[in-house]
Amino acid sequence: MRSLLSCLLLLALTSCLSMNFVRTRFGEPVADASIAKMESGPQDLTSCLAELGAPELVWTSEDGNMRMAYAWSDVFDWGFSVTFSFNQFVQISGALDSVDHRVHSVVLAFDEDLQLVDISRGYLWDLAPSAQASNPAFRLLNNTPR
Amino acid sequence: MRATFLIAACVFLTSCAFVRGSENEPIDPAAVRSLVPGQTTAREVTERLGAPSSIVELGNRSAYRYDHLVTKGAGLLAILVIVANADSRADRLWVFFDENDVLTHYGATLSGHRGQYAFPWEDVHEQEDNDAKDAERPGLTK
Repeated sequence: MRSLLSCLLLLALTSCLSMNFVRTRFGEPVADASIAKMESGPQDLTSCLAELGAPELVWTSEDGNMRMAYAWSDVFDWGFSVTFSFNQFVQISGALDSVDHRVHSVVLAFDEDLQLVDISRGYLWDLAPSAQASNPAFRLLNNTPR
Repeated sequence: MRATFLIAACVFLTSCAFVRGSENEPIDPAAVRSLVPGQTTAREVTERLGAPSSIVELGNRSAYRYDHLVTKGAGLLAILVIVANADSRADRLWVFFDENDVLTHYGATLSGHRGQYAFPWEDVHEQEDNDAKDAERPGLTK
């Protein structure tokens, strides 16, 4: 036990072994109460913007409807890495990381008269596959959603 | 004794790091309040707010996006373990124009100032924290 502890400490002190726990939060979640209010009756673009503020994305979907996406993320990544140098020419290293890049979203769809016709909740990757390239949330998370 | 020393070394041989990053300028709340649907034109919007970060064509309509992103990060670097948190908030404004470039709608979220230096286990979305930071931002409350 003592020798194992000594080895671990030696690796750690020489920066050969490290563990990391990183939480990344982007934006603020849309309140359930706001969604309930949107679903309670007819809404238009004006009332939606007043209730939810500025969306993350605005685009026209393939069906011609204007869509707006509100997005946020809260991901907790962990990992560890090990590096060991045999001599000045040979070094081995390994790393294992858990990475979660899912971005939560609420997507609103409007008809030609800018009346709200649909509300979808889910991951932005699923709800706005054609509109994600310009999304800072994806850019912040290395642009590699799962 | 030796084990105590090793544990103490792991606890005390640590350092903290704080980082802050931002993109674009904060959006002026007074400029947002000056927008009048049905009256303000796209030219007037750009005179007050500058060039948008992006423009989206929506059939005959169009929409301009303004944004300002702030990221605050805090980390604890121990010998063996790195614990860190990054909190990103944004000022964001979308302005919608009709085919004549007259403002029809706008939506603003001004929360770039709400970001916190925090650790992963801390809640950064508490309402009282947001209210306190809102009160400190000039021009945000009417």
